[in-house]
This record gives sequence, structure tokens and C-alpha cells, in this order.
Amino acid sequence: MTNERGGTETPEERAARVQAAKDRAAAAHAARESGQPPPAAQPAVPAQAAAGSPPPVEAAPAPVLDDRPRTASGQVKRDPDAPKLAPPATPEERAARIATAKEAAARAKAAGGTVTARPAAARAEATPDAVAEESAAAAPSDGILRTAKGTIKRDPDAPKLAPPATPEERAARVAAAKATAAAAKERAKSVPEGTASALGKGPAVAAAGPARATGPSTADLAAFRQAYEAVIKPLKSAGEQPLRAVAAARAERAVGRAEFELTPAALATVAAFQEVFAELEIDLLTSPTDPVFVVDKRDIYQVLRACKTHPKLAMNFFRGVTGVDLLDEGIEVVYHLKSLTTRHAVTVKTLLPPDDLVVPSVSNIWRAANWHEREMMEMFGVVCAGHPDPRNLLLDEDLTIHPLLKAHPLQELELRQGVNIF
Amino acid sequence: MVLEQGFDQEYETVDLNINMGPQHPSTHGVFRMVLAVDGELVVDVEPVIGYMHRGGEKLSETLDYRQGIGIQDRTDYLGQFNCEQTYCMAAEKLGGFDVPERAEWIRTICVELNRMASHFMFIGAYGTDAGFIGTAFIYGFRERERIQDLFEELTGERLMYSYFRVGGVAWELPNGWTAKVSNLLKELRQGVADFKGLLSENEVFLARTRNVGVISAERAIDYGLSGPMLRACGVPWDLRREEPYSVYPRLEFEIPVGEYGDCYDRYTVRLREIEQSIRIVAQCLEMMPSSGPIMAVNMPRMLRLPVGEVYARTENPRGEYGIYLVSKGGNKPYRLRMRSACFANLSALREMTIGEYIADAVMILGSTDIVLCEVDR
Amino acid sequence: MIQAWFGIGWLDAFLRVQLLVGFMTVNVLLLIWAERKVLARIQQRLGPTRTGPMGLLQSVADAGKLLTKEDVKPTTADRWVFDFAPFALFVPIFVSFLALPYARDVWVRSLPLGLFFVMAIQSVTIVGMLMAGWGSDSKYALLGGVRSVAQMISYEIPLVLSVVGIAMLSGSLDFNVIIEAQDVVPNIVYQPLGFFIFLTAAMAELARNPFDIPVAESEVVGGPFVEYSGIRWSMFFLGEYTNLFVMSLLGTVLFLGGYAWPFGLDVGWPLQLALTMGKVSLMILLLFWIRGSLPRLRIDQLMSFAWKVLIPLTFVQIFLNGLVLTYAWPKIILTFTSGAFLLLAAYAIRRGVRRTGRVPREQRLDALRIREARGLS
Repeated sequence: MTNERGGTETPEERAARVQAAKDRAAAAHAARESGQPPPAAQPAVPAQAAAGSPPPVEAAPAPVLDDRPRTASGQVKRDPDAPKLAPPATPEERAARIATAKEAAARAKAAGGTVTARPAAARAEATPDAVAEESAAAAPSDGILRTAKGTIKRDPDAPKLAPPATPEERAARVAAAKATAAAAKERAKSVPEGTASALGKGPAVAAAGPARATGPSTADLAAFRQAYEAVIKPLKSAGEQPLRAVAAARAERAVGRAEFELTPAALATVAAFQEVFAELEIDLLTSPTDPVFVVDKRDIYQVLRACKTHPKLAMNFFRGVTGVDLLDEGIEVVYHLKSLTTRHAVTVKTLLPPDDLVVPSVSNIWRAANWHEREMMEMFGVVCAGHPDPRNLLLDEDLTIHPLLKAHPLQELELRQGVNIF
Repeated sequence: MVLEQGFDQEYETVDLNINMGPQHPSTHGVFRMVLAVDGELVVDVEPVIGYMHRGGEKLSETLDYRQGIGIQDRTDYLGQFNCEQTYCMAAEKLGGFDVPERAEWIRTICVELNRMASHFMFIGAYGTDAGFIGTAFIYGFRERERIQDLFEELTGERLMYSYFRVGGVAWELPNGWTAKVSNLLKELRQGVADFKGLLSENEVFLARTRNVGVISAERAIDYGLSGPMLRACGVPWDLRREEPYSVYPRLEFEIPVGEYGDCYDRYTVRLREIEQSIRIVAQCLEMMPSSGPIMAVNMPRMLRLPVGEVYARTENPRGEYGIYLVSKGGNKPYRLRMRSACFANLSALREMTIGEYIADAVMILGSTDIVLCEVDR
Repeated sequence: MIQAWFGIGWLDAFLRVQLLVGFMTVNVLLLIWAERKVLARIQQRLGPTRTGPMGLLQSVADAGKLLTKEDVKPTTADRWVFDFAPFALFVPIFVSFLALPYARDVWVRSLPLGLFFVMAIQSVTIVGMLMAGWGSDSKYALLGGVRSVAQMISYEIPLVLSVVGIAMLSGSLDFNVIIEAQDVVPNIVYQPLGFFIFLTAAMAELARNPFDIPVAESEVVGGPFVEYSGIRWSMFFLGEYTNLFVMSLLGTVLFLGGYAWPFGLDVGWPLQLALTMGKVSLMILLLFWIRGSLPRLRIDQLMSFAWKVLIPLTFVQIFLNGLVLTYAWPKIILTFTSGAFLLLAAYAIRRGVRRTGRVPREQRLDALRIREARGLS
């Protein structure tokens, strides 16, 4: 039987290895609890490594892998046999150093602080005078504990931010977290499939997570993780779209569209439009630059043709046509038009339902539309009926995916990268 | 050629297909043109684009409103400040931010200097297409390098500036920069005069560019041409005049207009635009307030735009560059469409080239002044 | 020399030829360097500066590179035609060296029909170009080859006719006689129009700017030589620069007085040699200068220039020569008449280009037919 690294080992060897690791972990834990240095480093690599296969990597639970001397809190003590960084001082120098330090300490203490020991190396560089000046200058008398340098020192008597948890406390915490997660799961299950409203908190939590000082609570994190997993789980069938949950959540917290004031020129354009298309149902939206007219799909061709041919509008300059992927609602086709004679500028758009992505081509109205429509067709999968040359323009000739759609083959990767997908 | 037996029968000939590009010294960028020729006459031409398509619009959906400025630089790498300005304008209009005055003046100076640099490069490259082996090219680049030195001092970059921000510009001008700009204007005037002497009156250049690649004004409008391509046909359409933005309502400048819509007119229009840009920059230097804020007040660090859409457009050196921005309330665009001028300009290539000679095809392509990164985004 | 010392004619000729080969090789290296430097200075660059002092060893480095390159050949190339073409181009040029005079008695062979010989041999190089274009089995090479043949055949006629004028003036086809006739006044004084025609036709024969459409780098890259690499390509290069020297030497001998003017025939051969070389250098410099200053003409403009402008002008020149010689008028009349026609021609060309340039597309029936077939007009 082979392990992950390709080496072979018998089940007995594997069991022995696992048991040894467990023992080491228990020993280290016990040592940590009791404040003693942990046992010695782990035994040598098993015999199969000698055969030439790469040694199996153990996930050693104990962080201690050597027998360096450590202090009470587990930090590595400076090896007394290691070469000193500064040459050994003569007894006179040492006496002088000690005297200076005692002076500085006395001064600092008089100012109301404790003194930490500075490492020998740094002390060797600083002259006694400089040290004295420094500590004298940096000893304010505001009652805050400061080091000899003047930085604020953590008071050793102050309470710790969180006391070390006893095993019972820890177990209680874990249980509470599990309960919240289960509750969230229950909530998710009760909602109809595909619309996890728990996700409503997800993006907000993700976005706010690193920025908030206190961090998201455990329950929120659990809810987000569950919703996130629901979104990125692999697609089971071709028709399954991972974004449906997101779309529904977004619909729940939908924000209204901002309204803008139209300039007098834009108002004149609106008036002309309303006059020309009095009998059609056209919605007016506002944008900071142009009026936006939403036209029904069935009327779009005659509206555009009238835009060009009607003398009141005379929109002879075709700026562009593009699509906007609105997920569940379909794809919105947006035309930007301009008249060089009457100076009207409009945005005309129409919504194509997701099951009928066909819009009549306007290449015979404006020659400029030819290339713009080819690009829209290949990027969104919209079909411009009647286009004289519906080949791919920018993409490869044989490519059949539509890259600008929101649900595209690399979408999972984007989600993992934390890109806002709306 | 397939010859029939015997001389008393008709020759049956097929057209020769010549493939220019995607690697070719005179297709300005990675662009492929398939010409069907009958002798020296071009019978059909099919432009093949998409070699530089990098998914700029898709990328912009994943970048917030400060990161997205870098994409704009790389879209039109000869009119960088223009594209940055359009993008910032779109975000500012949608978000309702007011750009302070000094920032607008700084922006205009940068934009017009950029226009000049782009046109100088066009003239240099166009001369090379015409057959000047390098003389015109170096002349153009000499002037362009002077402008680029200024930009390097301002932004630290030679090509991808990323200096504009939504709401203003990123940092204040360096000391003495405006003095350097006004010294430069004299040298640029001399550069334009050099080009007039080298190219504009040269009989061979005239013979190569007059009446070549003619397109009528109606056709030009129908194809969506804009910028110098449209103005060369006699249509005095310039977005700085028609849909003024920034500080252009306060500036005094002319719109150079051509007459016939041939290659020579496109060249002349661009050359005269350089002169007008020099005039604009001189006025900007005079009228600019010497101190002031360069960023809109109360700009949030993470910019979130309200739900809505906007189509902002400016006059690029190549034509009308538009940004259609759809926002769903987040810090990234939901959809960003770059309406690039070269895309529309290039679609008229077939119309202009059929019926001309092969050598003219190169000249016509050069006169469209395309930047393939803008065509393909 | 050896003829005089030892009386062995063939050894004498052999040594002279060897001397000439050595001279020619060094000369070509120097010419390439000089062209690069002069062109660079016109284009505000420096040219080669690093290889050797002032970049003098650049051509040596290039030659070394070319010699060590792999000889890549298209598999479908017509083997013998492809292999033989460089030699078909180079050998005639070298042979024409043999008849040209450098100083009195300093040449390989003095032929009584020297001028006729040189002109005839020059025509054979055209075959070499056509062989290169055809043998490469490549569309670009074929286009380039056919264009170059058309150009060269067209410009042979003005070249030869302008030289006929000189022969008329001197009364002989022997180079010796032509030069001796110029020991007081060089022929350029009597034949300014002829010199202009000769210069233009020589530039076209050499396929230099503004007539370098066969090797137009920005269109059909490399022309007929596009499929050649390494030594074979360097043979073409060698041929081109040798031809440059030959044409300049021809121009010097025929128009600038060769070794005779201004110091006469009795000065020693070193001074005469130096004089010849100086004049040749001047002409070469003129050709370099023109190369760096003018764009290239299109093939149909080239051809119409040759047939509609240059050939009528040569007929005018010959007619004037005939008039003056028949009626034994003083030759100074030729100066004025010929010069007047030259100025008239310059004015007419200038006006013609400015007014029409080229027939507009609407008036060209073939273009109209093609456009209608494509649904464009």
C-alpha cells in the first residue's frame, strides 16, 4: 500500500508511525500545560527512506523539534556557548557599563517605570554617554510605564486580553460554535433550494471582514462559509448555474437606481423622442449624460430605424451597441446613438429574456453597427438576426464560449479569488 | 494564373491573395490584412483583428475604480491620458463628484500634450510608410521624446501613466514643471515647421497621399468614423466643441477640417491639430490657478458608485472614445464598455481600400492611425 | 604595367582583375559603412559607433555574420534558377568594371566601344533579378521581381538615351576620347538636363530610393531577395553596392570630366586617380543624400515618370545636341537651352503633382468596376 508520497509501507508500520506521532503530541501538550520543556526531538526517519523513496512527511503536532535550551515560556534561550557578538569586555569596561546601567535604571525608576534588559550586542555599540542621555531625555512623567528607550511597555500586572482557556472552556466554545452552525444549516434547509438567504450576509461579511477591528463573529463566519461552499461546489449538470443564489440574494437587498437631473438639451431630446414615438411604450431612465430609453424587444428595430430616418431625430452617428449580462433577467442590449445635425444623444436599450436572445440586426441601418454587433454576438451569445457576416471578430474562429457573460468557465476561479461577482 | 490552350481564347485568371501580417513592418501593431489583388489593383480586403484582445472589459469588472485606470492606459497606449480622463469622468459623473479646478487644468495640459505626442508619432510612422527610410520617424520621435520626458518627470512612467484618479489627479505637479512645458512649446512649434518642410510640400509624398483612400462625408458618418478621420472629410465635428467637458468651454482653439477625405487631408488635419494643441496648452498655463486642491473633497478611500449607468465620451487623438459604465452599487463596475475610436475607424478600411493599389493599401492603413490595443481591447 | 615590363598580356590582365577584385571588396565595405553613417546623420542618429573606430568594422562584422549563416532555401524553389540568380546579378556588374577608366592607363582594358559595352552589360543584371524573383517560389518575391524588371527595363531607355547625348558631343564611344574631350569643360556644363536624366535613371537602375519599390521594406519585405539568406543574399548586397560605384564612376567619367578635368591629361596618375575618386565620392554622397530625403514612388508613378517625363526629355536633349552639332553652333548654347528645359521640366513636374497628383478614383474605370462589383459605390 502506498502513501501519498509514493513510498510503500505496511499497515503495521503506518500504525506505528501514527501512534508515535500521537504520543509525541500528547507529551508536548502535557509539557506545555505543566510549564516544563517538552520532550526531545522526534525519532529518525523510518527505514523506508533508506530505500530511496522520499521520506513521508509527518504532520508533527508538537512545535518543538530540537533540544535547544528554552525559557519558561518556551522561547529559545541564547546559547551560552555561541560566540559573542561583541568582544569580551575587560573587567573595567564591564564595571563601567554596569554602573551606567544602574544609573539609568535608577533614573528611570525614579521617573516611574521599569527597565527591561537591553541585549548585550546593542549595548556594546551604544556609548555610556549616549545611553544616559537617551534614557534621561525619554523619561516623561505621565504615569505610563515606559522602557528605558521611552516606548510604552506592557504592564506585567495588567490582565491578559484573554485568559488561557481551560479545556472545559474550550470545549464549551466549540460546542457553542457547532450549535450556531447547525442552526444556520437548519435555516438554510428550510428555505427553498437554491436561494440560501444566509448568503445575504455573506458578501458583506467578506467585504467587511478584514477591515473591521473586531472581526466577524464565529456565527457569521460559519454562515458565510456554508453559503460560500454552496456557491462553489462543482456543477453537476450543464444547466446548473452557480449564480442563482447570488442573484436572489441581490434581489432581496436591491438598492434603487440613482436618479439624475437631465440637462435642457437632454430634455429636448426626450421631448422629441416622445413626440416621434407617441404610440409606443417606452420607459425613460436617467443617466448623468444621456436620457436612457427602454424599449420593448418587439419594437426595437422600428424605433432604431425611425431614430435614423425621422427628420426630428436624424441620429446618423452610431456610437456603439453592447450587451449587459443581467443574469436571471436576461441580457440587455444597449445602443448609443448621436445625431450630428440635431445634436441629440440617446441611449436606447432593450431587454432580451434569457430564453430568447435574438435581436434584429441594425447593420443595414448603420454600417458602423456591423463590427459592434459581431463583437456583441461573440461576447454575449446574443444573435443579431439578419447580420450579413456573423463570424467571430475578436476571438478565435472556432471559439463557442461567450466570455463577457457573468457565468463563464473561469467564474469559480474568480470567486475563489474573492472577486465581487454581484 | 490558369491559361487556356491557344491564344484565341480568353484568359482565365484568379485573384492573388496577399496576406499582410500579423507580423509585418507596416501594419501598425498585430493586425492582419488579406488582400485579393488583380495585378496591382486591390479587389477585396479583409481585415482580421483580435490578436491583441486581452479581455480588458472583463478585467475591468474585477478591478475597482482606482485599479481600472491602469487598464485604460493600456487600451490606447498613445492617448493614455485621454482614456484615463474618460474613465474618471464616467465615474465622477455617476458618483456626483466635482473635480476641483486646478485638477481640471492639469488634466487638460496632460491630455493635450498627449495628443501632440500621439500625432507626432503618427506623422513619423506615416512618413516611414511612405518610404522615408527613418528620417521622418526620427523627426517625429524627437518631439515625442521631449514630451515623454516631461511625463516621466510628472508620473515616473514613460508610457503607462496612471496619473489621473476619480475626482482629480494623484499628486501635485513637480516644481518647475509648468516652466518646462512652456519652454517646450517653442520647440514643438519648430518641430511642426520641420515636418511641413519635410513632408507637406514634398512632391513624392503628395503624389503618394493625394486622392488616395477617399471616403465621402456621408459614408464616414455612417461608418461611425470620428476624430481626424471624420474631420478630414469636411465634417467639423469635435467633441471638445460639441459636447464640451472639463475646461474646454473656456479655451479658444480652432478645429482643423480637411476637404477631400483622402490620406493627405488626414495627415494635414493631424498636423494642424498639433498647432492647435500648442495653443491650448499655452492658454492652460496662463489660466491655471497656481495653487489649489487637486482632488475632490470627501472622496472615500474605497469608492462605491450608486446604481446607474453613464456613457462618458471625450475626444481622443483618434476620435471619440467612450466609456459606458454600468454600476450596481459596488466598488467595481458591473459592466464597462470601451467604445474605442479605432474600432470604428478600422471598419471603414474595406470601403477606402478597394479599387486602390497595393502600395496605397499600406498608406491608407497608416492614415487611419490605429492602435491595435484599442481596436481589440 | 606587366605588358610593358614582361610583354605577357594575359598575366597583366589577370593581375589587374585581381587588383580590381580586392579594391572592389574593400570598397563595398567602406560604402556600406559610409551609407549607414551618412543616412544616420540625415536622420539625426549616429550610425554604427561601436564596432571598430567610428564603427568602421561594422561591415566586416556584417560580412562575417552573413558568411556564417545557414543557407536556407525554400524546398519548392527552382534549384538552378534560385542558385544562379545572385551570380547572374553580380557578374555583369563586375564585368562592367573592367571597361571603366580610373586614370590614364589605370584600368583593366580600354575598349574602343567602351560605353556601348558597359551599357549592354548593365542590362544583363535585370535577368538576375527576375531569376531571383521567379526562382524563390514565393508571392512576395515574384511581385518584387516583376516590379523590379518593369522598373529597370523602363529606365534603361532614358539612361541609354542620355548617354547617347554625351556620345554625340564627344563623337566617340571610347571612354578615352570622351574624357579627353572634357579636359577644359566637363560635360555637365553642356548637358545639365542630360545629367539630371542620367542621375534619375541611375537611381532607378540601382533600385534606390525614391525608386526602391522592388525592395520596399515596408511593403513587400525584401522584394525578390526575400527568400535568400547568408552568402547568397550577401552577393545581392555586394552587387548593389558595386553597381552604385559603377554608376557613379560612369557619371563621373561621362559628365564630371573623369580624371581629366580640371588639371588636364598630363598630370601624373596618382593625382588623376585621387581626382576620380573624389568625384565619385561626391556623386555617391549625392545619391545617399537623396535616399535619406525622399519617400518612395509607387510603381505606376515610377513607370509614368519614366515613360511620360524622362523619355520625352531625352529626346529633347538629343534634338538640341543634334541642332548644335549640325549647324556647328558654339556649345555654350547647349548650356542655356538644356538648362532652360531642365527648369521647365522641374516646374511642370511640381505643378502637375500639386494639381492632380493622381487620377481620382471616380475617373478610373477599372476601380469603379471593382467597387460596383463589391457593392461599394
